[in-house]
Amino acid sequence: MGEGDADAQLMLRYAAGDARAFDALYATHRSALWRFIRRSVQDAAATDDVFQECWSRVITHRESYRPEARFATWLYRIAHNCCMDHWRRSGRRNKREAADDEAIEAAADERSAGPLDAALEGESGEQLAAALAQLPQEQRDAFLLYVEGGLSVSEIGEATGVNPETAKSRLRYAVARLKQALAEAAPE
Amino acid sequence: MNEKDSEAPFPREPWKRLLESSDEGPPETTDARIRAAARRDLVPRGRRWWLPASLAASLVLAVLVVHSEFGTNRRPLVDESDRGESAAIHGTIVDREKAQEPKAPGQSPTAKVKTDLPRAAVTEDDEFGAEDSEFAADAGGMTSHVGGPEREARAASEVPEDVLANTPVHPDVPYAESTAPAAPPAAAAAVAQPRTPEAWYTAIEALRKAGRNAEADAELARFEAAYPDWIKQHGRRRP
Repeated sequence: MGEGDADAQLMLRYAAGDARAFDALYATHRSALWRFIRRSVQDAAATDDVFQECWSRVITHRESYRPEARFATWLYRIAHNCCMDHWRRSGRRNKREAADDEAIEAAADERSAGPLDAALEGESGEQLAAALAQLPQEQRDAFLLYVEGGLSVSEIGEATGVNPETAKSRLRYAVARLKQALAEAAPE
Repeated sequence: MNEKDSEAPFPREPWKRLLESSDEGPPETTDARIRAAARRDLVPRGRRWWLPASLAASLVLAVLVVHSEFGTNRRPLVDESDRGESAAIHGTIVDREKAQEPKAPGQSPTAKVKTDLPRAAVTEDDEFGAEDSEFAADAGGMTSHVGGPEREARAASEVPEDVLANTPVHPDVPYAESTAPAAPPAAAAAVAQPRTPEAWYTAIEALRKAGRNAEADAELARFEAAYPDWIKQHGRRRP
């Protein structure tokens, strides 16, 4: 799977001692990983610590990396674990749950009702960030892993320790909630 | 993006564009810190033990050197287990002090040993030098023999004249020059030369003829003490 992955090759080169390979790898993933952690942790001060911890684990465990999986899958699994550790350390957890799961389910099913690009027309990054902050932790992580990390549904399930069906369900709930939040925030 | 489009729950790109519009990213200090950590961690792990290992080896070596050089000096001078040995050393020191004190003639331990031994035995010891050896005195630690040439000269001077006179001397055994008492030159020449009773008798006659009767009488007395019947057996008259 990862044999043809350019990132996987860079990681192997870094594990062999090529520091420039790490620079290239870092430049590729730094922004997306930062956003993933920033949205997941929901704490500006803690984001930097979790971000550095994530890369520190990449550096430390570079020799245990195997290119059977994509590098992004491996990287975001580490990032997800770092975020979970942060939540455990802080003793705080986003307990916000769906007020009306059935309504969300219905909204998710309306995905086919109209083009997504049209739904997101005119929205800003800040509005999306605010909408993401309202999501339950599991749904937000699934959404971010899918969008920022580029992980597949099965990879999200593997990274978060759930089966693919649960991961797919979380994604659908997340998208439905985001669309609902953005629609509510949009001016009349 | 390894999944088929049909398996994707929704397209990523519109959401990704929206997220990227926020233009967020880590600060430059974090970037520099992570890149530095990545390079620092690439130092071959095999070398990491060099510094602590070399420091530990140096420390052990230093301890061994110090212990080998000064370890014996750190022992107490008088130990319970060494009581016997230290007593011997103490005895040796006392003997040295006694040996250096002025003594009356014949009271020196060395002189006593010399006077107790037959003259031939004393001479033999002196020839081999074992008795006078500093090493013999120090290494043994149990002997009272101390000193070297100085002690030998002092011991020789301490031997009473009468002892020398009463010591049976065989003409075939020459006096050791180092222990020979100082004698008048002429008498010494007369006494030192004889090797046989005949020559000794002739020397006494020469003294008599030279008018040195006192010396001739003394030598004659010694001669007759050594060879009581020689004159009678050989039909000579007393010179």
